[in-house]
Amino acid sequence: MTDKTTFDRIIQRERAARKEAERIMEDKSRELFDVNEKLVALNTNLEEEISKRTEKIKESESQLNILFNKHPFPIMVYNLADLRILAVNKTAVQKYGYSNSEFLRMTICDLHHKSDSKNVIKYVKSIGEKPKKNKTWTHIGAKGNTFEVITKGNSIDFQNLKARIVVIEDITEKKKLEEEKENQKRKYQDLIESSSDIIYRIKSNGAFTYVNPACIKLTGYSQKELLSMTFSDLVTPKYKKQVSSFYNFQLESKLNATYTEFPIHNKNGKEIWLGQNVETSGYNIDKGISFNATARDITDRKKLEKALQRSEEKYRSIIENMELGLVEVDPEGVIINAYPRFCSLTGYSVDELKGRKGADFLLDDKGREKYKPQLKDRKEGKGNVYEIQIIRKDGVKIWVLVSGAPFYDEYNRIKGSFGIHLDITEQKMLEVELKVARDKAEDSLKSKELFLANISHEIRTPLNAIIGITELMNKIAKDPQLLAQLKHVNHASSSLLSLINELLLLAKIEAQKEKIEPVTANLYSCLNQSFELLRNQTIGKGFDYSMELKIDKEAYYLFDPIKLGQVVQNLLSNAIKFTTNGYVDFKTEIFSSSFDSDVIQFVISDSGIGIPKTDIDSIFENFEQATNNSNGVFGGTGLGLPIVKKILDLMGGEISVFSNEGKTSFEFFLKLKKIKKNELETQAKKIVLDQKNFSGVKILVAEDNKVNQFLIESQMINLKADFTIVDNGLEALEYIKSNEVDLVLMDMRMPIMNGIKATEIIREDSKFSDLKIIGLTANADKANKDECYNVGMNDFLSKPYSFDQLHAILIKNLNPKLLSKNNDLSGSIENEVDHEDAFQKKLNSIFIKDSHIRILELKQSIINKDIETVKNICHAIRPSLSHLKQTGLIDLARTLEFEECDFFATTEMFVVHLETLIIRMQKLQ
Amino acid sequence: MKGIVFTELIEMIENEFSFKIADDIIQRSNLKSKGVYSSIGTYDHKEIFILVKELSDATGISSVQLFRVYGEHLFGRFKSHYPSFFENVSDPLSFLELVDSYIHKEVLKLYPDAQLPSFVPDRIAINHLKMTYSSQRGMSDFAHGLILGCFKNFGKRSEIEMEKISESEVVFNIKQLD
Repeated sequence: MTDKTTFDRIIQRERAARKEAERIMEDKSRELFDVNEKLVALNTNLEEEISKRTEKIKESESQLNILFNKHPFPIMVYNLADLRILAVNKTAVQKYGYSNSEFLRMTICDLHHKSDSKNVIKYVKSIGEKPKKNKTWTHIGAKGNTFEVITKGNSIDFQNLKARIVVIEDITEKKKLEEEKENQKRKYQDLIESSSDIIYRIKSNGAFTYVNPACIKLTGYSQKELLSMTFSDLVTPKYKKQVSSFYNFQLESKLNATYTEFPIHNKNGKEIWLGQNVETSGYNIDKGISFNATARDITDRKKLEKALQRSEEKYRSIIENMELGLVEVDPEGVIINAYPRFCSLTGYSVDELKGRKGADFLLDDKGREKYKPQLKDRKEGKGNVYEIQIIRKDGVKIWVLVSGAPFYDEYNRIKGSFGIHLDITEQKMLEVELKVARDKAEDSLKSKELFLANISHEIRTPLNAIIGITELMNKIAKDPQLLAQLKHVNHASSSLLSLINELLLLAKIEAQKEKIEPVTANLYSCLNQSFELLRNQTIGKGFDYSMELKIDKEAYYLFDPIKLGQVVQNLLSNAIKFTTNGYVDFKTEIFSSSFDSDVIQFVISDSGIGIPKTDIDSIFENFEQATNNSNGVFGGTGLGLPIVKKILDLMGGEISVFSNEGKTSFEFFLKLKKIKKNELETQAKKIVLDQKNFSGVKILVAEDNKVNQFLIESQMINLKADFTIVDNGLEALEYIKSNEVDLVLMDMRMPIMNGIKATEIIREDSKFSDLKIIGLTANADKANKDECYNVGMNDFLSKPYSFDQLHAILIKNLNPKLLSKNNDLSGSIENEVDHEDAFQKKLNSIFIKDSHIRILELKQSIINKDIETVKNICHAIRPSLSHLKQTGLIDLARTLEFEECDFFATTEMFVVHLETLIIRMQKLQ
Repeated sequence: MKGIVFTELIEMIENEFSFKIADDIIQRSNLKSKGVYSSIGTYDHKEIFILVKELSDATGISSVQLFRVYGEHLFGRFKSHYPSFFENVSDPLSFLELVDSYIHKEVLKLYPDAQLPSFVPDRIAINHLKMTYSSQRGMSDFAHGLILGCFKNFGKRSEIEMEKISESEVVFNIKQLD
């Protein structure tokens, strides 16, 4: 059962629940109150907000009004139902020239040409059907002025009417500009479209954005196809990488314009070469960089280039196959390309050669000198062939024959030159061998001559003995039979001697060793002498021996008197030989004359046996003689006429022969240079006539050369000097010690003691301080003179010296007191000339005698290889040779003494010449 | 949990059993609220489990049975308290369909702090409704009772299968039999 406490608790709980409910209710009421308060406040705010917004609306309304009226474009509102204009802004009033009220009485059709009304109505009806394009209208103003407009409109409710508001834009000016722009664009477009060059535009990824018709035509692709392609699709696959890297480079380097050449394939797969200019056409953020390109079809040019290259290659390969080393160098000689054969020729690889100057390492100094002008020639476009020595890589030098020529690029500019090299080392070696062989052959010829000369000499010596002994026996023999036999021996040996001599002379001439030595000489006396020389051969013969010289006795000409004498003597000797009766006649006359020379005709005629017609053509050939007889009646060598002909050839003369029935005549002409009188005087110094008497003047001559001794002796006799001759310096020293001497003529080179040494010793002794010493030397150079003066000689005389020179130097150096004693002039020119003649003969005989010894000495020296003796002999003999005017021998002697030469060969030649000279002199003696 | 659930429970215990039992239960339950409930207040929902448990102990009737009976009872009370929810609704399944989408929303207007279970309906057929109950409070038996109350209120018979998916989620297969 329920007790009281239970109910109490229930009541308490109920109360508590009621109180809690009341508390919750109160909270809720309070919340409600608060919400109510907020609502009241919100209401108040709303009113304020409304009035604020109303203000704002008013404000924006007036702003809109301003916008409407001040809008730069005319704005109109019209009724869609009847097109009546409902409102316009002020701009419209100004633009159209109608007043606001005028507008309000108009429809929009009134703004158009009447003909346009239909279109206007149609247009308005279609509004809202579909979006409108901006249609251009022509509006007419109040004054009838028209302007192009476009309108933009919106449908609105206006004054409770369905209306449309339109903004009208005058595009008259804009349209004009656009038209102009369009024209301009079309003009350029036309240019581009009609261009025969390919013009296109690509994006940086290579995609085409424009192609011109030429591009379409060339590639064979349609415009649509091209615009879906990239540039690199066209490039020949092989070149793609190259071309793309080229344009990447342009992009990276920000180059504005470039040019390059590459091939493309057209739609048909044909290869076309393009020369392409590409310009960067500015940067656009949206589209990136794009390129404008113009390109030209250069296929034909490329073909030409290729053809050229192919033909070049063809020739190169031909040259290579011919084993000719081909190399190309630039104009400065730097190797551009070297071909295999050239590489193997030089031993260098292509890489070692390329880029280097060939001359720096392939040539030596001599080669470079030779190469320099070649390079210059190439620059001037000249080709050339030359031989040069090349140094191989292994250091071996080879000879090559180079054919060099410039080559040109397609614009005809010199690009460099190429050299074709042929290895001629073997030929060169062969050439050297040939030269050696030739020298050998020449040497053997020379030795043949020498042999001939030697043999002749060897024969001559015993022959001289035979002749001499025969003559000796002739004098003592009494038996007529023996005498007759001796006469035969004499005759035979003389013939033999003359044969040998002539053979020798002929050999000389043929070896061209014999020279014409023209000197100034009197032609008359030369010819007269020869004529007289042969007179004794006519003794006992019964014919007239006559001469007729129609030339000036005083005339001097430049000619070789010895050679001319030989010719005349030979011809006369022949004539005499073949003539038994009748005549032998020698005629000379001036055939023609010019201001500086005369042509002289020489005729030697006889009435001898004559020359058979069959032989007349060959008588000037060696070993041919008239009648070619075997009976030996006439003797002779048969060499006389050939010698004559050859000498005349050398002198520029020509000989001819006429023979008819026992009458023979030889005729030749010589053109001789005339020597005028004044020239003669300067050339040949006249003998000074104020000759002084040197008697009482004591002169010592120290001279080892016998010829010179004789020469000086005769000169001293002529000067009437009191003289003594000694052989060397030592003898001179001995002599002056015990004899009184005023002057010494001291030769510089003497055996035992030379003149220099002797002078030094003399000068050491003050006793001889007044003694005059004159040096004599063959070498008149400054060093010799200085040597003479240095050792204390007073003066100096170079050999050969003339009588005048000796005379002058004596007067110059001798004390005048010594001379004043003897003042009587003696002697005359006549005496002098006579004396000269005898003197010359004596001189010659001494020279001949002396020379025999010297020739032997020289020969011995050749065997012993004794250079020094040869040089001494040459030195000693030179003055005599000068005196005899033997220039050929003097040159040889000087060469031996001073110059470098094949010493013993030259010595041998000297001996031969000397022997020849001696033989000739003996003959004349 | 809204106070009305507690006040109606106490009232039901007082009427069906006795004031003594009601007071004993409250006394034994040692509740934070001390058993003082106002219909418009809000109290810890655990207290209802304690009270039902004590009642089950005192009467020997299972808690499941007690929750179902209480739910059936409470639905009748709702009808008298909130008759407007029943306007235009003529059958129990239609009413159940409206619980989540309409009635709970209306409840939240009155009690913004109310914590309500979700009751997702799925009309399988004209007389078959599948409802998924999910709530952290685990009061599916109470919900079962409310469904029974609904049918009782409309004077209809029902067949209800209860499928427990988890502690917090239960699916009811409800068939109206007439």
